[in-house]
Amino acid sequence: MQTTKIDALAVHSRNSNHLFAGGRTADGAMVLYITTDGGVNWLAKTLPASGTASAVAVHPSNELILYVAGVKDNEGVLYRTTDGGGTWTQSGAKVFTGYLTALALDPVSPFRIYAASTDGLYRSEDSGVTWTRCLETSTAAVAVDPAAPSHVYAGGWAGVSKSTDFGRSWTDTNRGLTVKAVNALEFVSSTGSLLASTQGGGIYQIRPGGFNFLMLGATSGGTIEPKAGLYRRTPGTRVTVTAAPDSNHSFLGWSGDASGTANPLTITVDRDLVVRAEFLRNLFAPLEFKGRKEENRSLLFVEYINILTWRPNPANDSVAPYRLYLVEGTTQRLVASLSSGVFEYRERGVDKDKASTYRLVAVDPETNQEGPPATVTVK
Amino acid sequence: MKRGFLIAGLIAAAVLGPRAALTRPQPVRTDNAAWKSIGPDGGCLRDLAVNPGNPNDLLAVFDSTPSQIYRTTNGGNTWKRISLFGDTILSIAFGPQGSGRLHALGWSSVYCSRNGGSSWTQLSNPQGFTGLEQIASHPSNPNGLFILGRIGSETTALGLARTTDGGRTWKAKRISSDGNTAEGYCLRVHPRNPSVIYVSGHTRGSSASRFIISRSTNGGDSWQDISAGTTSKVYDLALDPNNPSQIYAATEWGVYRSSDAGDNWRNSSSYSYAYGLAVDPANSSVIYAGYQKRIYKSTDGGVTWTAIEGGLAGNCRRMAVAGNAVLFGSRAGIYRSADAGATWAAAQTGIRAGLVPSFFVAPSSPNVLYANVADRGFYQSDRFGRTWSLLPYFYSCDDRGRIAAVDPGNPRTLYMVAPGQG
Repeated sequence: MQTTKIDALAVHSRNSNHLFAGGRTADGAMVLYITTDGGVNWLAKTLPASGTASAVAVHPSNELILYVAGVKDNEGVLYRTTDGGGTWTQSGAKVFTGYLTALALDPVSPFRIYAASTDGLYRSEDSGVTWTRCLETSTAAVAVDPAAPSHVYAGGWAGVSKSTDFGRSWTDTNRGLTVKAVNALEFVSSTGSLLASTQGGGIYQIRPGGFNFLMLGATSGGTIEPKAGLYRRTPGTRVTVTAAPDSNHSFLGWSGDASGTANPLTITVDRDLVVRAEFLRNLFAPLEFKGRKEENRSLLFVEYINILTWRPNPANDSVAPYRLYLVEGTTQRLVASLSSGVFEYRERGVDKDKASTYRLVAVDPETNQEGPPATVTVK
Repeated sequence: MKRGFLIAGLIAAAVLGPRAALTRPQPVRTDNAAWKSIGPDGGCLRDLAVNPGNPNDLLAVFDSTPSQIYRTTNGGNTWKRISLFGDTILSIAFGPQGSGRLHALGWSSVYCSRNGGSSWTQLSNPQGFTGLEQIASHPSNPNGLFILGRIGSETTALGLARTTDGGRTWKAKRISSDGNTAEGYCLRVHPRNPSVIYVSGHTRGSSASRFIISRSTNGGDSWQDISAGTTSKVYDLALDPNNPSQIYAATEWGVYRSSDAGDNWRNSSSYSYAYGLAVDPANSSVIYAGYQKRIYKSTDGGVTWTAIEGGLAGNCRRMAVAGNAVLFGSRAGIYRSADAGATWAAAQTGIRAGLVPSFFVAPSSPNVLYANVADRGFYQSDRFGRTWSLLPYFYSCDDRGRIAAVDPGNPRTLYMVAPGQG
């Protein structure tokens, strides 16, 4: 970078090597520097304006779309590019009377933009073509709740105002905010906390209310989309969850506050909910399960042995251990747990004349789940 | 708090092993969400005062809106906020020993507390003042107060107002002649003879600035310019508590000393610069002069000085000797030395008055935060504000805001705009 004053820096949310630095060149032009290699090389994109860039915003999914706020002739100006800075269009000419201090894009509907200024907060619903001044108090910071984009927070000298309708109406939310002069606002999306840094009171944290929690989980053997975790949603939000079993696994159904096997499943978050997807490994019966009775005669005694043999089922994708049961009327008794490399079992000291029925099942060692049995009767 | 733990627990459950129990979230009370301070500790100090009866008892006021007054009773180890003011408090003072009174001076008024700062009474303002600057308590009369300020209506001059009846009536006298502007920096009252008062400040006339050190020996009725020898702003004055005719003046040209109550001044014979001064009451030869991120210490009554750096930050605003400790109060907070100025560490536990132009959240880790603190630099927290540490790269961004960003994949990588460009 040449001799430049940098007043704003942004990093792309998905690619940390992509950085955007806005400022003013030595000869006074507004400029945006872009790097795609983590700051080794910077490309200067000069804006058709003199002054300095005070805020930079990047479209969350298309980083060719950029917004740069600046000051020109003592007025706030906003520029937009859709080709990564090749051409710039002024947005909201003659709209902003104050200095622009911060920009925020709706993370779900990025055509909705908020521009904070010393004269209030402005909102655009059409990617910056037209603007509405939706708050009249001087604003230094603006944040959109990523879990509920209709919830917008604006901070300034008088504290923090909250809107639940995209900035149309506002209420103050200053309880506990001893020092109200707010410089910056940002959400910690994973926990839902909103942070505010102040001029003389450090940083404050709040957990905004008005939400239900949605806890999504999955047993091993599959994944869900959205992925397992804790989500906050405004009451009444409909969420569609898709269960995807891993290979050799099956989706069994939903548990917790949902049931059935519908996939995808649509749930209405009208209270705090826990929804879990149950997956099971696909197991198959061992092959060629056979048995025979043999006499074992020694000098001192005679005993009879049931010799059982089988072959692993190659469909049990990795080698599975086995359980061997003896059927006794309507119940079964565990005879032995056998490791995966064993293909023969000898039950000694059996009755010479009694027929025995055995069941052999493959077992998923992780879940303890048993597959269907192979059965043999030894006479 | 309770909800905080609940959510943390739920997240832990979500990332536990596949068969870990999924517990149902408790219904969340959403109607009483409140902001909670998470630090970092510190603030921009405006004034510091030591209790004349207990050197471990100090008051500190910080620049913020509202103004915050903190108090320590353990020589600065820990601080507690005792008062919030809608007014901007510029100066604070303990009342005389045993009076239990605290005095505070704001932009717009004078305040007195008789209950350790829980509540404050607004006193009547002295007449004829257009600006209030510094306050000092009478050393023995609990109802006695002195105020240094700007006097006059069309042009301004420095003036002193005094009351002996808790602010019901005031007497005011002009100290300096009129200038276009006047500023009072320091007001010191002789600890045993309150007829002797010293002030420092400056007036800026249409042609030139004039720096002032003035003395009154009759309780403020008349004033004598004793600034001969100083050509710099006198930011602070210190009277040796054991021999109050021995006076020190903090200037950017060095620490001046006078052993005859200000009649004659001598500059130090080695480099010393100061914005704040303190004389050790236990050993009058030891003087501490606070400057930018460093102090000068003299052990020979201000003749020679040694610079000490390390562990300090910000431009000094006040120095104090608090029992066995020395305190350095600056725009970056309060620092304490327990070894007579040799080593320093931040002593601002509990002070939540930081000027934070911006902060940065690590997208990939909910617990990692960076705070850009004015006059201080970047702090990092790994525990969502429960603890903070100052990053070694010592650079303050002052009022510039969003000039850093955290790597979305790696919470340990902070991109920052380097200083000194343009």
